[in-house]
Amino acid sequence: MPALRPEPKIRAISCPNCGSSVELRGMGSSLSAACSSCLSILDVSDEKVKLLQRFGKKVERFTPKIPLGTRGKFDGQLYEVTGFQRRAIVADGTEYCWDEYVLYNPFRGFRYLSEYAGHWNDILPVTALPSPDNMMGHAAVSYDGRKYKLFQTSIPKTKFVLGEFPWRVNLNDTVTAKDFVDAPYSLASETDDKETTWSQAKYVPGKDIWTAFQLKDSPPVPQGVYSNQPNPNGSTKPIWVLTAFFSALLLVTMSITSMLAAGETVFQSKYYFVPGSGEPSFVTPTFDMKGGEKNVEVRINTDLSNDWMYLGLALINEGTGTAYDFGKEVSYYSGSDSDGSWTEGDRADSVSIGGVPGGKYYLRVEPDMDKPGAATALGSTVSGAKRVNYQITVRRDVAVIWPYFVVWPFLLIPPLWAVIRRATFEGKRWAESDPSGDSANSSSEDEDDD
Amino acid sequence: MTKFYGGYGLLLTLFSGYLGYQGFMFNKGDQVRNVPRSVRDNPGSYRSIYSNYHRYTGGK
Repeated sequence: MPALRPEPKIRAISCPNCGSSVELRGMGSSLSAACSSCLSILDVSDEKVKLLQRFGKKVERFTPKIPLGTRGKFDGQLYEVTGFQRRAIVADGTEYCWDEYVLYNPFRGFRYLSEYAGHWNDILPVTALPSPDNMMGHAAVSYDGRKYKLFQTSIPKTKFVLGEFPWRVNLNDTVTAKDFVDAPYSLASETDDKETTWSQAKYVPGKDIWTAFQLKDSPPVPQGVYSNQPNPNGSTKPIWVLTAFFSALLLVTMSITSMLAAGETVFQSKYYFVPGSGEPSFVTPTFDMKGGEKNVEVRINTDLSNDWMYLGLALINEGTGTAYDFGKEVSYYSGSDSDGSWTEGDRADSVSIGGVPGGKYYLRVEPDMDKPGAATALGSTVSGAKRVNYQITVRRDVAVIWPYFVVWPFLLIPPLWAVIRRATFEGKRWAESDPSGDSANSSSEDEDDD
Repeated sequence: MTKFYGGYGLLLTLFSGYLGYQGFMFNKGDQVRNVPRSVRDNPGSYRSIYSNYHRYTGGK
């Protein structure tokens, strides 16, 4: 049967300033403690308690959201809240306050919690010194395989303390703090005139803190975006991987459907047209188009030169008497000028229609172009007889690839939206950044001027 | 988001695959019903709505 772990002992001392009882939960690990009655700060590093700081009634009191003495489990270990302090920085003339809690486990030592505007962090001292680094020209540090970008340089000031601390805490103490961020982690260095200490924080949702300490009510609702708050939109990598997958799938589908398309030539014949030589319209022999509703492509090849030709086309079902009316202009112009030689249009072109049922069809063709002697739109006159040779080819069930090119941009909408959402969140995060500490410096200079 | 996109992407792929397989075209031509059989012997009697097309479009 395992030995029962003894309950942590609470030592009580008398405040040398007001005589009130001060409970010590740190089991000799704490160096200083604050009297909850008169707020005097005491040196509790040895049996003989000394008064370090004494205050009048002017000190503003704050109530910790997690009461001192509350126990909660972190990483499966039980910790007790032994200390509380409120700290503040001034940036651009505005004071920003946050709370820090000292947690103690006699076998694990100290760890800390911080809370700012509903954002909580679980903080542990680091065991190795982070190494200076660079992140695209910005100051950074590397630690434990992660790279942290400098977020803020500030001068925090201790405004209020309660309970015990593993360091000699003093009210109005200031340090120079640098916060480096790689959400959900952050690294912080705090430098005073004696030393620099480093700690690593991990963002913790308020509800997890409430669960760990079994607190009543609800945690405060987080306001704004915190420096190491995880981006709720997550990484965009999985969605881009899917985009690549679907793009490849579209290509494969396009190849397969193109191969499956019969593209059968059902009619082909050569003709010529002499404008003004009588009734231009004629019909082709009947041809058979198999299958259900499929598309039909009519391709026109001509020997046009600096001219145009229009073909009025009607694909007529011999059996049902249904005609599909459409038309196509073919034009080809060429020449040369000061810019060099030029061409416009093409001697060959095609027109397609969809949803044509199978059956026996013939094509009614009505060619049209400028007649000899007629004035053209350019103001010149068409002179002499002209003849245009052309070929008509009718193909059934030709491959279409346009749906894939139309759909692909739609595939990009969700990943782009995800990128925008993520970037918007990151923009809000870094909008609060002050790597150089200019806003803090300007604030302290303002105070100095006063 | 990834689950939604999985369904969305699959739907788009299937939709485009269906259109591609069908050889879908928006241009259906203008349907004219009950064209008389006599058009076969007298093509000039058919009056296409695309007849009398006269315009100049080319030339630099």
